[in-house]
Amino acid sequence: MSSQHTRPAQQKDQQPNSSVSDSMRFAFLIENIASQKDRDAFAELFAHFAPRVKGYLMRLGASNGQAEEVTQDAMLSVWRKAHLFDRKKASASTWIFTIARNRRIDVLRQQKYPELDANDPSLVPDSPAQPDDEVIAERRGEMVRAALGKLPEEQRELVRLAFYNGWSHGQLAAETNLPLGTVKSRLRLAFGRLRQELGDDI
Amino acid sequence: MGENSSEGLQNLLQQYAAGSLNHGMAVLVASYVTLSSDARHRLEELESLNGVLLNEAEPVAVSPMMLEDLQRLLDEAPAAAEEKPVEEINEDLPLPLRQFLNQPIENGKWRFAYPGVRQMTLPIGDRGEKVKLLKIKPGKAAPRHSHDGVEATLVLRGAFSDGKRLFQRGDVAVADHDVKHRPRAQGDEDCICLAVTDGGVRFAGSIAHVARDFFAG
Repeated sequence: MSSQHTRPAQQKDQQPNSSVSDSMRFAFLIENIASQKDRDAFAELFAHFAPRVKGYLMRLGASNGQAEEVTQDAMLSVWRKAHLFDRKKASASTWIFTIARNRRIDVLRQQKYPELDANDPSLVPDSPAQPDDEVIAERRGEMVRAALGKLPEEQRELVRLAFYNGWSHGQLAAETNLPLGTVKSRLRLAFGRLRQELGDDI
Repeated sequence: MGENSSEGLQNLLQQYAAGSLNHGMAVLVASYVTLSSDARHRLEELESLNGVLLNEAEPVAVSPMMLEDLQRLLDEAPAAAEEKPVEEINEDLPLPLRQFLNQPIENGKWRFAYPGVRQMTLPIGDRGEKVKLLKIKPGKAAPRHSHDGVEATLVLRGAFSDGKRLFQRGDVAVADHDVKHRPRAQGDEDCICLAVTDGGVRFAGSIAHVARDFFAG
């Protein structure tokens, strides 16, 4: 994380939680790409996210070659779509996750992933923003991370398989050799705890 | 539809967030989150959970050439993005769905499905799922059937009731093989829904039962 840029994000490095400032740093880098085509910012984002995106793709069964191709493609999209990033809506890692997810489907299935369009006249708008919405968006990732960390490993792994791999209850039961009822009750427990931590309708 | 429905909805949003839905279901969910800010908010939560998991994922080294290759590509203008003109017809329908319709749905190829119910099959689907629009006349009901897979129905215009709950524009009913439901249009306008079915649909009950539903409409 060394670079000669001025770093407004660093002024907040005194915060006790380093992953919050990491997350702000990544958001700042994406914004710099958008505003000034900052190549160093891109290289720094690449160093952190490209290997993680590749790991994600391989976890979902991509070969090394496919994972390389989609990772490169996704990172190029990060550069090209940086102007669409809005830190009030999503953290940097969430935004990059959705890009990688969509590129994976676009490339491997040769089909555009259906997405909502923010300019769609039929879009039903959010209810007026609460004053602390911004804070919530900024910190949401951190809250989720903390909540996940508190789950017992058996629940955490199920959450990973259910959310990250996108397995249905039936698939989870088949792949883990757990009875369907056990899968459902463990996930419900995990979910209940996450909801408790996040105080939201996740 | 009680617990089954909320669990079914949760599964759909979760699998959309993960990118594991078939194309037809993904179109339905993208349409759903366009019409429901509540669903959109829940999806954002699920995506942020995936963002955290990505950040914590085991990194796998990428080819040392990749960054160099990318550095060369950064200045290239992207291939002219095929800007699809946004159709100005069917403007009340969500864009993820609207792009598959090239004429006002009133003029589409509606076919008889059941007394009081017409359907239009849409050319969407990559893994055997069936995607169609249903148009149910006021007071009429779609057939009672049970499903081997999952059926999700998004209300686009009008409203229907499954006997327990009213579903209005932007609401999704999810039925799995346990549920025998018979959506009946409410109010005085046609109810138009997007229905996506995974796997085969089989009719419940005896032939006589089916015939009775058929003639009763």
